[in-house]
Amino acid sequence: MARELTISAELKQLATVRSFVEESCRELDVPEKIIWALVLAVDEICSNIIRHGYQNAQGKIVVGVERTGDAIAVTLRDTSPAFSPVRSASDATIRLVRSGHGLTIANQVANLHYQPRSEHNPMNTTVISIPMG
Amino acid sequence: MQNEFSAQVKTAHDGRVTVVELDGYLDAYTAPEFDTLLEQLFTSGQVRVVVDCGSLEYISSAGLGVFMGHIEQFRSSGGDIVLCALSPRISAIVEMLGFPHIFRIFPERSVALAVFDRQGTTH
Repeated sequence: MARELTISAELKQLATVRSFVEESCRELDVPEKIIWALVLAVDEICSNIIRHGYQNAQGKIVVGVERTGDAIAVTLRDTSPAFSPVRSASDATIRLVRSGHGLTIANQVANLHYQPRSEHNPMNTTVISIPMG
Repeated sequence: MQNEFSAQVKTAHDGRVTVVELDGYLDAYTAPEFDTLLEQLFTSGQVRVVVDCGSLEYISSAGLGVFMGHIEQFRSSGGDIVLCALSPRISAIVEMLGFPHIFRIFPERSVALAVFDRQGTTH
């Protein structure tokens, strides 16, 4: 059974998401090193959904944390306009620009999968997972 | 709550160097506060800056983006933004984005301050 949290799509909620993921992972006996990496990736993707998906308009994000086999996974579900928060990041290393580095970080520490909403699924779904094996 | 963030500004080397002590969580929500601070330092001519990350618990790409967005501005004015006292976790994130190729990073504040003992362009 996944642990779930619903937040308003606001940047000030990022702290709540980080705390929720961290505490849920501890309850699931996830090693600290993996918790840190997962929190980092979730923070980046959540931030992308709020800023680029909802574009700071009103909305909600449902956060689910679950152990699936040998991995720990966080699922983010939202109803923002079509936008992939995990689209291929260009090589952002050593570029003196302010933004666009979040995916570089998230891709380095976790596996990312995005499924846009459809007639069968009313919410965009992003899965951020890390193997625990 | 993991969204607490503060930045204390101090001076060193008889006022020639500004030290910014970061504390807490620097993410997409709190980054604008740090961005405003660096802009204020630049505007007031305080372009030799040591950022002490010793009490920084967390940084995301938005926080790192603030450094990226200002570094050329400070260097082109004869200054620099030098980082010090990064925890292992902050260091790991910083290294993911290649920061050690862009910024000078030192384990201790005293060593970072010594960078500015030399006059002129510091990078």
